[in-house]
Amino acid sequence: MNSEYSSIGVTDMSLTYLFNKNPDLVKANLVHYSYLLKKVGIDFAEISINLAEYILLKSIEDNNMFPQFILRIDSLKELDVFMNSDKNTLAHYEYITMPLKVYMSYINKYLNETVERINNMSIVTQKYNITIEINLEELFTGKCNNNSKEALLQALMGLFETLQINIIPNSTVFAIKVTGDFDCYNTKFRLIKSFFSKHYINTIICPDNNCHTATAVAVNAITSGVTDICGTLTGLHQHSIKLPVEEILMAATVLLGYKSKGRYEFFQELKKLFEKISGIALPYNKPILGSNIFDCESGIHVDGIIKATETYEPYPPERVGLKRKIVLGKHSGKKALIYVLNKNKAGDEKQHIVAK
Amino acid sequence: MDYRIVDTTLRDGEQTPGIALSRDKKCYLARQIDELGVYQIEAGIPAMGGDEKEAVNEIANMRLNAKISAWNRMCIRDITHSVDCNPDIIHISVPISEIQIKHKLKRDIKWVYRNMLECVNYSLSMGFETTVGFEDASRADIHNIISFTKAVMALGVKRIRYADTVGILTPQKAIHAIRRIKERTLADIEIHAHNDFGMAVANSRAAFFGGAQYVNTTLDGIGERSGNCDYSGFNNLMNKFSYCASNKLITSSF
Repeated sequence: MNSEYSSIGVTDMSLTYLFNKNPDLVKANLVHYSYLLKKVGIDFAEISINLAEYILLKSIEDNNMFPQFILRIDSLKELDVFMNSDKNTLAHYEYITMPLKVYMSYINKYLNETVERINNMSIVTQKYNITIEINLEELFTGKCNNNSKEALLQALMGLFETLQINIIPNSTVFAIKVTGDFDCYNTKFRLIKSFFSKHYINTIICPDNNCHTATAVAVNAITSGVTDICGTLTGLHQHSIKLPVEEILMAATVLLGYKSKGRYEFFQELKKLFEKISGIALPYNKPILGSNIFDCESGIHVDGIIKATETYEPYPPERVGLKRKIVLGKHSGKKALIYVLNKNKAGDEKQHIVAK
Repeated sequence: MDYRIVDTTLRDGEQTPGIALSRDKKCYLARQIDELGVYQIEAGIPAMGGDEKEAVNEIANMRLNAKISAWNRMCIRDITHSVDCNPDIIHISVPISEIQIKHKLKRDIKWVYRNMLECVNYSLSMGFETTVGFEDASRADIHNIISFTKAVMALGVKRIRYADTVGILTPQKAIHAIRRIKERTLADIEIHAHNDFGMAVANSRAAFFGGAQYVNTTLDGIGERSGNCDYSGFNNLMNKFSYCASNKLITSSF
C-alpha cells in the first residue's frame, strides 16, 4: 500500500469515527475533509459502507485531490449488505478492509452460496484488494508469549493456514493489518513483515494508544522496515484509542528524516473541521494539533526563543499552521515584558521603566 | 530494578502558559502528590522570589515523605535563594547542547564547564545533596554529557538528569543514550521527557530500560508546549508490563 511518491503509506480511519458520531455533518463536509486529509499527507482513508454509497453519489472524479478510499466492512451485518449489494454499486472501490472474524465469515458465506447467486454479486466481477485486520491477542490467542521469536512465527503460520488466501476469484489478500497494544520494545516488526512479504502480503501496523505508546510503536515499526502505518486523526476512534496520524507524519519527517508527505500547515484547518463534526474540543496542548503548543511564558524559555527560536522549539510553529505567542504571567521575566511592550509599540519610557 | 518518580508538576508543570499556582495551592498539591508515594517533588524555582520562594520554603518544611528539591539556573545567586529554603536536594540545570550554549547563553562549552563546577561546588559546600540536569541533552554531543557527568561525580554528585528539552527523542535513541552514559559513568540517571511528538511516556520507559532509575512526571502531563511525561500514563504502562513501584495509580482527568 506504499504510495509511489513517499516511502511510508499512511491510512486514516477518522471518517469512520466521525460518521458514527455525526453522519449528516460528515456528508455535508465530506469533500472538504477528504481534500484536507490528502493535503496533510494521508494516502488512504477508510470509510464505512453507508458512507461509501454516498461518496459514489457525490461522484468524486479527481482522485488526485483525495486519498484512496478503502471500504471498511466492520461487522457481519455490513458483510451481508456488501455481499447483497448490486454489483455496480461498490464498483469504484479497489480496496476493502475487514476484521479477521468478518473475513472468515466472508469466506464461509462465499463457499456456501450457489453459483447462480455468486454470479450476480459484485465480489466475483470486481477485483478487490482485501486487507485483513487482526488483533495481537487474536494472533496469539492467549497461549503464546510474544517475547519469543519462535512463538510469534508459530502464531503467524497458524494464522496464515486459517486464512485460505485468495480463494475468491479476482480478490487478493493484499495486506494484513495488525492492531493492538504493542510492547514497542519487544514486538518483532521485522519478523512479521518478512513473514508476510514471502507470501506477497503487505504488513500494516495499526497500534492502539491506550498506553501512550502508539507513536513510539509506529516509529519503531518504520525503523524496522514497515512501510505502511494506520491510525486516525487525533487518535479518537470508536473501538479504542488509536495512533494519532498527525504525530507519526510529523515524527517521520522531523525525527526520522523522511521527506514531508504533505502540507502540514493544513493540520489546523483539518483539526477545526474535525472538532466541528465531532463536537469535541481537543486539548490545548495536544501534540502537533493543540492550539497553545507554541505559547511560551517562562522567563528562561522566552529569553531563549527571543534569541533563537530553535532553543525551545522542536520545529517552527508555522510548519503546522500555528503561531508562536509570548504570554505574560507568573513565570514571565523582564525580557518577556519588554518584548511584549515592543511588539505592542509601547513608548521608550515604559520600556525604560521595565528595564530598570 | 524499581523506578522512582520525581514529580515536577510544581516546577515544569506550572510553567505551562496560563497556569499560576498560589502558595496555598502549591502546598496543597505537594501534599496530594506526596500521598501518591513519589520519591521526590520538584517544588519550584526559589530564585523567582516572592510567593514562589515562600511556597518552596513552606513545602520543604512540611515534613513530607517525598524528598523536596528546588530548581536552579547555573547561577550562584539563584542557588543562594534555594539554600534559604533548605530543601533536601538542590538541582542545577546546565544547558549542554550547542544550540543552547551558542544561542541562549552566548558562551562556549568551556565557560559552561567552569561555571557548572563552581555552582556545584557551592551547593555541595553548603551541605546540600546536589543533582545536575543537562538541559537539551538529547541534542547535545554525548561525549560532553559523559565528561561533564564524570566531572560532577568527582565532586560528589550522584545523580544527573537527561533532559529531552524539546521532545525529539525516540525510544531507540533514549535507550541507546542512557545506556551509554550509564556504562561510561555509573551515575544515577533521571529522565526528563517532553511530549512534542506524543512519545514522552514511551521514551521515559525506554530510558528506564537503558538504566534511568529516576523518571520525571507531571500530573496530567502538563508542562511546556505539549507537556511532560504523564504520571498516570507512565505508571499504567509500567504496571501493564510488570514493573512496579510504590506509586499509586490515578485516573487522568483527560
